[in-house]
Amino acid sequence: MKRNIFIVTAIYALFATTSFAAAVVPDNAHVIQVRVDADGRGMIFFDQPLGTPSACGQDSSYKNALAFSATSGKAALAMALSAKATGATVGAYGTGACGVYGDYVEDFAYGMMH
Amino acid sequence: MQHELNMHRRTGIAVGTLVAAMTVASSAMASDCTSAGAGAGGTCVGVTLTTLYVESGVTGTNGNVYIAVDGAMTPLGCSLNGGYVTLPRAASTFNATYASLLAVQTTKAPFNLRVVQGDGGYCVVAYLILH
Repeated sequence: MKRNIFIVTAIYALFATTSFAAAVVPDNAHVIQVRVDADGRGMIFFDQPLGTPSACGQDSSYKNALAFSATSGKAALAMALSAKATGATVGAYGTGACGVYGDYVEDFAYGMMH
Repeated sequence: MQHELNMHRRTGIAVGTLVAAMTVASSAMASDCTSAGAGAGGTCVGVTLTTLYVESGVTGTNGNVYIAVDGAMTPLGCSLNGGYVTLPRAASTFNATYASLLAVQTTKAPFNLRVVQGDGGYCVVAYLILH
């Protein structure tokens, strides 16, 4: 019996630690900085920290940033530049993964400019 | 007595002017989109963009852009995707259309939107006319 309880607890703990989390930028945020690297990838910095960031995007220097890739991030970059230029409010979501820069900035999934 | 009559006349003129101004103002507001028939999409005339929704195209997203305008889009003869009209990433005119959408979002300029029915019955952007 004790062994069964241990197994159930262990399985629950496994799911609890591997549960999916993705960053959320509130819908009333503003873009304060756009970083573009020489290889085309970059980051969008918001004026608010990311809510529920993924486990991989915990670097304190990038707690308000999402990354975009050189290949699939051009539309996101254009939106970010437009939002930065106009001061429009934006919202955004992360993917829950950190593939563009490795394990310190979460990847941009989608965003809304109002 | 004559003074009261003049006051009433002035009040009547003021009310009439106000009603006329409100009529002009309401005619300048965005109109709702209209249907071109079931399965044929439709048109939104003189609308402004309220939301530009951009997907990155990374794993789990498809890179599409979705838009909403300030007129009601439900009359369109196609299905809205989560309340949005889709600009598919695979569209041959994606770059030009997206650039135009950024321009109208930045300037808040009114534009005409022609929508057709795409895959899955969803409304997709056919073209924009900027004023």
